[in-house]
Amino acid sequence: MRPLRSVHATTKAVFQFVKNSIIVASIASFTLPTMAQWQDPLDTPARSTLKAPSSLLLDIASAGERLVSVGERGHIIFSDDDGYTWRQASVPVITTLTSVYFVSSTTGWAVGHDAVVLHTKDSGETWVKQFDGFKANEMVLAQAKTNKQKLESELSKVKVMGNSSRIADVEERLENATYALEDAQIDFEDRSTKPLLDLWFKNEKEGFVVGAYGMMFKTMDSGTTWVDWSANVENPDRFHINSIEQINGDRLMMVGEAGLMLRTTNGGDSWKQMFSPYEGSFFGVTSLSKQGVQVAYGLRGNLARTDDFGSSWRLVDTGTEQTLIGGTDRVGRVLFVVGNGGAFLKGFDFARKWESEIRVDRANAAAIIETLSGHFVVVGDNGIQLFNQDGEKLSVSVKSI
Amino acid sequence: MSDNKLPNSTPEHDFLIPDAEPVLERLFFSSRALFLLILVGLTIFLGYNAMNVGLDSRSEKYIPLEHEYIKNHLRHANDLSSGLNNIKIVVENTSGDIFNAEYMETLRQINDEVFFINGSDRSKLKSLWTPNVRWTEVTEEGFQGGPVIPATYNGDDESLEQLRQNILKSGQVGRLVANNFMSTMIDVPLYEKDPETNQALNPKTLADELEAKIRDKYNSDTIAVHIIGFPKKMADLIEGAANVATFFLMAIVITTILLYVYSRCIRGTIIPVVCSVVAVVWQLGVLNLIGYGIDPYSMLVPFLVFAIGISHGVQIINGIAIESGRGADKEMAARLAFRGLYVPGMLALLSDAIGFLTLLFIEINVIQELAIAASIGVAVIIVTNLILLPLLMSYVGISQSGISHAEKVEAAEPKLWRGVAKFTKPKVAAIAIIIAAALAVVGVIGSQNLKIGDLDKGAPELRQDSRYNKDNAFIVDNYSTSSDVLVIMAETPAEQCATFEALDAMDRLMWEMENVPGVQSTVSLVSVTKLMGKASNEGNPKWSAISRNQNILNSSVGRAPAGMLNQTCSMAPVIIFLNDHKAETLENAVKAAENFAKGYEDNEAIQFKLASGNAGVEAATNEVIAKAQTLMLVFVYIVVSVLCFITFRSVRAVLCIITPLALTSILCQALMAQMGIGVKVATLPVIALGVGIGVDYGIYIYSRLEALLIEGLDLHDAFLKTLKTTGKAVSFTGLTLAIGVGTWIFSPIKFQADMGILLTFMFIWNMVGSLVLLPALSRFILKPESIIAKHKARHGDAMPAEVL
Repeated sequence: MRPLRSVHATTKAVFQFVKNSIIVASIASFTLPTMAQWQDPLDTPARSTLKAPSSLLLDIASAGERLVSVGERGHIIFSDDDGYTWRQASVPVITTLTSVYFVSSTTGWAVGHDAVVLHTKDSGETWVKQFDGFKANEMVLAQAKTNKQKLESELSKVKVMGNSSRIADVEERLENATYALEDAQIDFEDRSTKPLLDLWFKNEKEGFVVGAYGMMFKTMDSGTTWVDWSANVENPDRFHINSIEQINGDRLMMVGEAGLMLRTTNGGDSWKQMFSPYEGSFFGVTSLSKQGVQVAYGLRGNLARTDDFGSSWRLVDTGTEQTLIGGTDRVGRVLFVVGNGGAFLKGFDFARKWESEIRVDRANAAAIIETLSGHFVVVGDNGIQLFNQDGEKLSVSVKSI
Repeated sequence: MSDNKLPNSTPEHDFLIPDAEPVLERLFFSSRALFLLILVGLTIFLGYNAMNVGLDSRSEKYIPLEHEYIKNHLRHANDLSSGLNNIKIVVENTSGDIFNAEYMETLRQINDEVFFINGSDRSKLKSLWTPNVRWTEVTEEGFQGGPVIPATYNGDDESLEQLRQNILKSGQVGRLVANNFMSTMIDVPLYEKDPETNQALNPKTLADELEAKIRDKYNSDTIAVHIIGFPKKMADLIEGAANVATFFLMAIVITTILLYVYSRCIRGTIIPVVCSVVAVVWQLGVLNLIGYGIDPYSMLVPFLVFAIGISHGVQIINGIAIESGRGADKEMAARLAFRGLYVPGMLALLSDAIGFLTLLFIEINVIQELAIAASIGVAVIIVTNLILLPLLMSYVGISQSGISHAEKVEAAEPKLWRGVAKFTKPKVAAIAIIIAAALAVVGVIGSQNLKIGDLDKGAPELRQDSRYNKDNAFIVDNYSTSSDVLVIMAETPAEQCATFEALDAMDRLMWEMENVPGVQSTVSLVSVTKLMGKASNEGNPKWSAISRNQNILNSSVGRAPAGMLNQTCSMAPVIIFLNDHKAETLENAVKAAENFAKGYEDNEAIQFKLASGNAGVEAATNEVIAKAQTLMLVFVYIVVSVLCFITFRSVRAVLCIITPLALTSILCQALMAQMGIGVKVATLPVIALGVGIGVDYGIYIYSRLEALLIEGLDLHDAFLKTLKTTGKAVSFTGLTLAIGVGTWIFSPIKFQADMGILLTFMFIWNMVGSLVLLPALSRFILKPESIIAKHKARHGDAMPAEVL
């Protein structure tokens, strides 16, 4: 009997083992987290990567002595040694970020695609999301409805007055407003978003963000709430607003698509068009503040200069046909502008005379900043690049930690 | 001749039934002429078939068709441009950049030549000189563009500067134009079939045409031409394989000379060589009959068959010479040799064949065919060298010089053998075993770095310093596109491949992959979408993102180049360029992709399927090989051990025979790790072959040693006597086998050279192991008394036939 019993015991043990295994396996399968489904990029934190300083970056700003740069996939990186070594910030989204601005060494905002607005209070190390395209859609839709209603009542008023030229004017505006409402309706329903492209803050409370299709929002409470400001901008065709820049005090300028040039003298409360010398797009506006000179630059090497706060703009020969995207952000006597195809421009003599060079890497650049130690950090397709004043690449390696 | 004239001896061991062997012996030798006639007839028939055996270069043979990656790949094969039918010609200016009139003129001439090369798809041909290579620019009026070389081009400085500008605007830097502007590429897509003859393109003809019309004609002090592409690689492989015939002749010549030195008998030299060649002919003939061809891997088999044939032939010639020396006539000598060697010969060959068949576990056709080809080869040796050879020898007999040489050798006690025999002495044996154990430890440690797959850059089939790999390295160094591509297939419902969610998921996969070490860059429909986003917004880089507006996405998909999505927009490939196809690189990339794909396993909008591209196929191959490797080793050892046990009916005997083999296997793995040879399609079979063939030595030595022990000699004397006859044959065999495959080391084809190195190493070490480690182990493991007792119980006083 003994062998039989042992066979039986073995069978039992095997059976027990199999049973246990099944239980273990089923528990394991139940306790496994359900497979992660796709998460919206606005709800997905940026992946930590050492590659951020060498991938697409679109803007760079200074927060005191710190440099902060933003780019694709929610990358925000910062450097405390004038651009040699970089660390990655913690960012709650993976949308492409287009612009960054600091009002102090600690407080700043960044904007990007999906009309996202991010805010930092610790010099750019951690960021929180304040606003996004879905909220923007709601506000744009509400504003578009209001605009239309206003114009409808205005139309009925002017019709009563019977002024035919005014009727035609209001009718045209109403037509535009109707289109705008339709577009806003579609965007809202399709959850289609538009990018913000630039921003400016007056102080830690008050600022503007601007972007595609004439989007403009204003905050008075550090970004907690926003209002649609586009109704205060003379931009009936809803052209993209590519850049906003403070000239001095309450005087600001914005440039954009199809030669759009706007200025304000009341801190941004209302914006009026300037006479544009060019029908192509401007991507940036940069100021030689002390000399009272501004330049706006854009498509195919076109660069316009003014020394009377935009009352008159004149195109200046730059010697390049490369599209220009970004200019220097620090106070200096010489202006630097960068753009596509490795374009690197220097403006002398109050920005009247320009020298253009093509950097050897021929990569597209989106922004340039002068560091405290006198060299330049250029950001673009290839990430961070360091250059001296002659546009020669510094032979140092950019580190990522 | 009546049977009672035969000496009273029977084989000590048997396979079938105890009486089968004498019956077989009687059968063959009683109608020698008839059997000879049949065998000659068979040889003519199979020889005719062997002449028709073709080179088989079907690429699917090299792929593990059962692997999930490959199944996924095949499911989408029609939608993925294989990239296989494409030649890249790079024209380098060795004395400056490309912006000079002379260079551009040469490039134009080459471009025109390529245009007329048979098989080139002229409409898709791409170079600076073809009109389909254009620049585009965003202007105030929208997009503008034109051919990179404008109609006004005349070679003056101004038009060269214009060319420079256009190239920069064309986005071809790193693609058609080298990053350093010192060379440009002509991309030559090929038709699958020759449009005129409708035959599959012959890579060799194409490559010859390219060499003659392009490389030879235009290479100069200032111009260097580099040519790569799958057809070119295949052509180089075919050309390299042609050398194999030379190696085969070399192997025959060297073996014949050695055989003569060994036997000092012309007849005893010619007959084994002829029989072994007959074995090769049979093997090739049978292959053709069952519809197989020969490929660069199974080309090894004829070498093995020849060498194994020789080694068994030698044993028989050796036996015949000794018997003749003892006074047997031609027929009797052949018969006695047959009787004595039939069983160990059969056992050895069977274990070879079954050892090879363990390769069938690896689900890669080319390996399985190698296994079948080798098994057939070994099976035919049983007929050609164990039957045909003694039959032939029973007619021609061995010459007097051969007999006296054999006698002289048997009588002499060379210092070498006396030295080797000392390994049966307890002290020496102990030292030998300790050294072996130490070697095993060293081997295990040394083989820690053993990698799966190909470890070299470029085309792994060819040598690193081959022209092809140099050309490939040049292109990898100077252009931004790598030739090692992993493709992950993003599957969506029909017409849904360009939804925001799908594209965003693909974008994340791309970024995930770009963060994997070894990944250079990635491309997919997303890249097109982002580029289009930027382009339709006047080139402003701030717009390079995926829009959430489906209309915008649809319009960018409409502009996507072919191959970025399938017809129904239900699959879009994510193309991942790798630095190389080293095992580690592949492993990292595949692991990361698998992990990512897992996160989308149940997703309705999009799922990710691995894998296509050469790297995908290679990753699948590596996986199959990694899985099969251990299984195959275990099986080959089990099979060989079981066969040994069935024959010798003794675990101790099995231990003595198998242990040296195991040591060799371990050392072989260490050698592979140290030499940077990975476990791959080419080297995995070698491990099985090495064990299968290596066991022969042990079997021959042990069977003789056992017989002499039964005769009553002590271990030392028995082993010394074994050495003088079998030992000599075994060492000769080890040498012939090593030479047979050793010629492969010089093959221009890298994997053949790898096979050559490893097999040579294994054959020599197995031989050394059986001569040194086997006696040492015997000292401690074998019990002569119990062997004798066993023998008495079975055969009474009859002496074993193996004594000879």
